[in-house]
Amino acid sequence: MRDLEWFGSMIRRPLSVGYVGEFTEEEVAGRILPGPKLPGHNRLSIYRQQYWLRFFKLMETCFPTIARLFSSHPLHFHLVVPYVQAHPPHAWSIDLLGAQFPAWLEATYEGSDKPLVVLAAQVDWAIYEGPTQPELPAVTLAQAATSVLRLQPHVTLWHMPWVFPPVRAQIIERPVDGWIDEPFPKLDRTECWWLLGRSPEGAMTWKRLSETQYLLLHTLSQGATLAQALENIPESALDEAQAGITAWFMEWQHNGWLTV
Amino acid sequence: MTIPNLGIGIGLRSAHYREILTQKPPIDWFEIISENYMPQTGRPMAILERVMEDYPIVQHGVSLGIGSPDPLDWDYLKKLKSLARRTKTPWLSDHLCWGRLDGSHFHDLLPLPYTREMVKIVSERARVIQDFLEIPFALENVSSYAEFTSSEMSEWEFYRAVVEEADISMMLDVNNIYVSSQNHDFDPKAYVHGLPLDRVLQIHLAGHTNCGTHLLDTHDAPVCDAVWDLFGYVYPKTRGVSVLLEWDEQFVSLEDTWSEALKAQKYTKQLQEAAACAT
Repeated sequence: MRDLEWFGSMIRRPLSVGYVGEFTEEEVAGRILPGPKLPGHNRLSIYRQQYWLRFFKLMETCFPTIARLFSSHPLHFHLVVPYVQAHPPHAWSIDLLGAQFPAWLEATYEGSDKPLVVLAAQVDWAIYEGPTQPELPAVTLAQAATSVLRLQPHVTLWHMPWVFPPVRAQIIERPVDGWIDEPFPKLDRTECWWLLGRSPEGAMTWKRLSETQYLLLHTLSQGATLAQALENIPESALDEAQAGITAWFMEWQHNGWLTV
Repeated sequence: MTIPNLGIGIGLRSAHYREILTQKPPIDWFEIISENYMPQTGRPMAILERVMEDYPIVQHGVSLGIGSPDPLDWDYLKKLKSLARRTKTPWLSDHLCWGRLDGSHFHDLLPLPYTREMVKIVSERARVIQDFLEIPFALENVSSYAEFTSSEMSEWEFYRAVVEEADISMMLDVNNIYVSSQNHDFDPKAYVHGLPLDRVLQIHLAGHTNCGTHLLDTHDAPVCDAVWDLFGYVYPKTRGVSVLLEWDEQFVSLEDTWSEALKAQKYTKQLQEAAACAT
């Protein structure tokens, strides 16, 4: 087992900038046999490169907006390497590699664009993990009046200082390094509220909300009846809520966003 | 227990979900990566349920890491068994490799030293796993790029010792034999000769990438001629087992993936015809 512990510690060493992961002959110290075309230390390097390239590629997939905001090289070496070193993958599912990435960014990233970067990471992760979240029994119309309602696990609510979802859609249309020489699309600095959830067809979709809709859904997200949700609405928005609640509920119920 | 020959299959991948569900192509069976469905939630599970209505499903795992310094992960195994009951997989396979250390995963199929000590560790674990799963369990040979100087035997001697001491089955990856034979300079037919082929319950085929100094097992291209030739050499010796094409990167259409897999028919039909003549 000592061979394996040594092997593991070697291939976890970060690649140097330029994606080079070569070891010296001395480092491998006769533990790896030479092959027909490569000496032992070069053969071990293949595993080191594979280890890191796999994580770089996965993080680009999980966090498409972050990947494009930073471009591939800074993403890999300034974010993924320190993140994976801080949070080595403990889950048997590689898909969970990025689960702590938004919180890690929030705790460690110091750029002036931190609020946007953290929001982008949170949104990317919600969209990545949404399809695999459980689908709990949808609320029926009969349950609407009296039951304690909740949001499905794949539904998340967002209160944003910018109109981010359409800009995100534009950003991820291009390749990871597609914005290096071009300015990013302009963010509309308008406070807004959104729901992100799985559509009946299974795709993750955005629905822009009014502040009143957001407040109602936010109360339901903690478990509440419709009547309790209405009680939490400020006086100024009560008329709007009472006038709209039936139609809104029908839409949320039709889309399968509520459970009991 | 009789192991069924399911015919020729391909890996169930999300790139082909829509075509499979809408066209229901005449594919014999699908193999799933167990870990992709083990949470048994959300869209992947909903799609798998629909696919299971029309096709046999076989589970193949990538995260067991049977030779790892870390002990077996019983939480993982319980989830694996739960999914196996749901899919009714006739057998279940993972790799003869390691991949966990100090509680974290490498998410790679790392090579083992071919030692007596490792045979003992892996075979004991494999026996325990098969008993726990209550279905045939098979280990697959991996492609490798490095070999430990501490090895005491060849890879095929190691593979043979593990499956025989554990009394488990073999998932033979013909592409992996070829890739490793080129990377370690051995005769792939000698590898085949050294194996107890009556234990093979499934064969994997795949494409690889030639990096000049070594071959990399990438599952992103058609099967090369040399691997087809090796398959033609191996397949009759197994007396006919299920065959599966793996294609995991640079996806092509379902139709093209299936066409590539169907090239195996050239060899499987020969065996069927020979058997028919013999009777």
